[in-house]
Amino acid sequence: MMKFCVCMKQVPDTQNVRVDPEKGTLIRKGIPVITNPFDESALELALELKDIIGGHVTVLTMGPTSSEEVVRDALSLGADRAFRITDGAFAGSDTLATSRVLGKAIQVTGPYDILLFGKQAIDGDTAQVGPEVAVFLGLPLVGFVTDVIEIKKNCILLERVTDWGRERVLCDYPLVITVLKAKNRLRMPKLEGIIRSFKEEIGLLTHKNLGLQPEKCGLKGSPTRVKKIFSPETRSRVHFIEGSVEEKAAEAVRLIKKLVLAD
Amino acid sequence: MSAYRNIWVVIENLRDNIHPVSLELLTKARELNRTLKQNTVAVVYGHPGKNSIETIKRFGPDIILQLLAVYPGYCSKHNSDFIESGIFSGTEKKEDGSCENFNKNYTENGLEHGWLNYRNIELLSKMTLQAIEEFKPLVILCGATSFGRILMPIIAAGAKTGLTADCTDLTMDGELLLSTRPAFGGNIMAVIVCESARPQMATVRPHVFKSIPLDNIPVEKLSNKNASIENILDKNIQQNVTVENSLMDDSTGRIIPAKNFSLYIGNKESDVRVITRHYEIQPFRTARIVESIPEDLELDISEAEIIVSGGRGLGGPEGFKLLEKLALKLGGVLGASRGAVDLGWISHAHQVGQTGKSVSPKLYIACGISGAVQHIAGMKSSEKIIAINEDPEAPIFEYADYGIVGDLYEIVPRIISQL
Repeated sequence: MMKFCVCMKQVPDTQNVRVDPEKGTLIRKGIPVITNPFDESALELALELKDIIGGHVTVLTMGPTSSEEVVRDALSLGADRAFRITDGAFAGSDTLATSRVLGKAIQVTGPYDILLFGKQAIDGDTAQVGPEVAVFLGLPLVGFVTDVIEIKKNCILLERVTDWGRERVLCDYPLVITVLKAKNRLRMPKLEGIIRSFKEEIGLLTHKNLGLQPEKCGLKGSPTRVKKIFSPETRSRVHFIEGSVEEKAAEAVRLIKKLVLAD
Repeated sequence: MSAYRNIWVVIENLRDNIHPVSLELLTKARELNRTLKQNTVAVVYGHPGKNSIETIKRFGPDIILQLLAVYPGYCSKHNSDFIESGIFSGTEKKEDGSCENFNKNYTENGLEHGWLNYRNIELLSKMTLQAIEEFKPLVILCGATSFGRILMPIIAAGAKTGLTADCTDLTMDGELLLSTRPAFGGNIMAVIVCESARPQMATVRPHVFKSIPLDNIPVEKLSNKNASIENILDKNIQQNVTVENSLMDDSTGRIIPAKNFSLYIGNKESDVRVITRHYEIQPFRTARIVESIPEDLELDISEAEIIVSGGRGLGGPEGFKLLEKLALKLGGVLGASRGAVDLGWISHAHQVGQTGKSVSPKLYIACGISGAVQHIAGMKSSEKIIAINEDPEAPIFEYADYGIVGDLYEIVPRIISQL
């Protein structure tokens, strides 16, 4: 039986975040949290593969209590099993430390045939965790996958993007995939799924059951740390073009001609 | 920690030339070394074409480090024949002392494994890790392209060191690299340091830094053909070979591992020292590339001088038909926000922003784009930005040079007709 594992993250909805213009700090109050969109693609891909070839889908998330929502949603959509990794010792983890924790969780709850990650999380935007977990587990990696061309019992044919076009790659199991986009949007839950998601128990994983030493985790286990934070500079004030529609268009044309012809 | 020295720049190929971001980073490394006073090392994988080497040299690295992979059990007697092509090959010493060329597929689980070649990012990582152990670089930089964003984390995890992605600025504080990058979706800037782990690694997006060749002559734009990215054999690199450490089997007839020798190739025309290193790589399980589908170069908007961009404010895909007319009149290309792409109104190739392309055109016209920070991150290096939006409070107006509050469906057609 094919075993899939999808790692998912709850992130602040960074598209809708605002900065306090006076203090230059983030307005953290009432920031909505969402499931990382790339992880939704990864989950959708896993569920589609399960539809085609059958199997079992486990979802893992590393985060505070609120992130339980991420895995419950996944269960409502057809995931079979869910774990949340949580431990105060993991606070302040950079990508290397996070990858170590996720790698351990995968080892402890596995084995799996296909590990799926979203290409990047929209808060950190590093795209590093998927590849670093692959190294930790000693598995082949296929990054930036956009499509599964064919899945068989012993191998899978994937399509991925590169800077110069696309590539089709063939690999056997187990392997790690980072997903850029699934062909279809994440599916909607059915009623049975939603009911089931409330009944299903979500396993909790801490440093103890992962066999990790707290002194080597979190901030202490992270080679990088944030030295300073500051507000990004904004451009100088914009010049608004006023007037009627005709006047605005005319002025725009004048500007464009000047800007395009100037060398 | 002081055993770690020099700034390495990973050179990435693009079609039949060097990816511009590698040249931007060579320039930046040169600048950092003006105070650090160590070497700039251009790291090259496989066999680049002569054009590529000449291009790299114009950007002033002190050393070009060429990394090659050889099969375990490599025979030293035939070192002059090993440079055949990008394909993993080698020779095998037989019992009677003669040598035989072989090309092996590595097969496991009945499946032929990634034919090991210089397009395999995991192979490049394994070579680099051995080079890191041998040469101990202080810093490694690479472009944050789809190549670099896979290669660098694999190397960083293997070296158990820190990597900062998508940096917008790099400075040195003594031997400490200060990497500035946007965080929290670009709403805040963070300076990241990797205090004790080495090497210190960072990726930088294209167009963040400027590339300045030593002779100040601008590099011509990349050629417009869909060349394959197979590495080209270059026998010219073999000229003026001075073998410093001669190769010998020892008296027991054992084969000396390839990494115990290197060829120093002096080139009388420049002071760049080229060091070639061969590393034995054990076969490993990896994905195999079965098909390459190059994409139409016309869709690469990142080099465009004029971009007319549309967002969700267009209300539908037909908005792009209107913007396309404007783009064509100006000799520019179409851009798009992630919102428009996600809704399927235009293909991802046009997406500008943190998860799309970074652009730095002379003129960026944003229509119906609200100005989410991730979009701004991809176009704020534009020389001039004109924004058209119905909402006077739209964040795009905080970044634009000129703003028009109005209905783009009224303004844009009038602009087109008057141009």
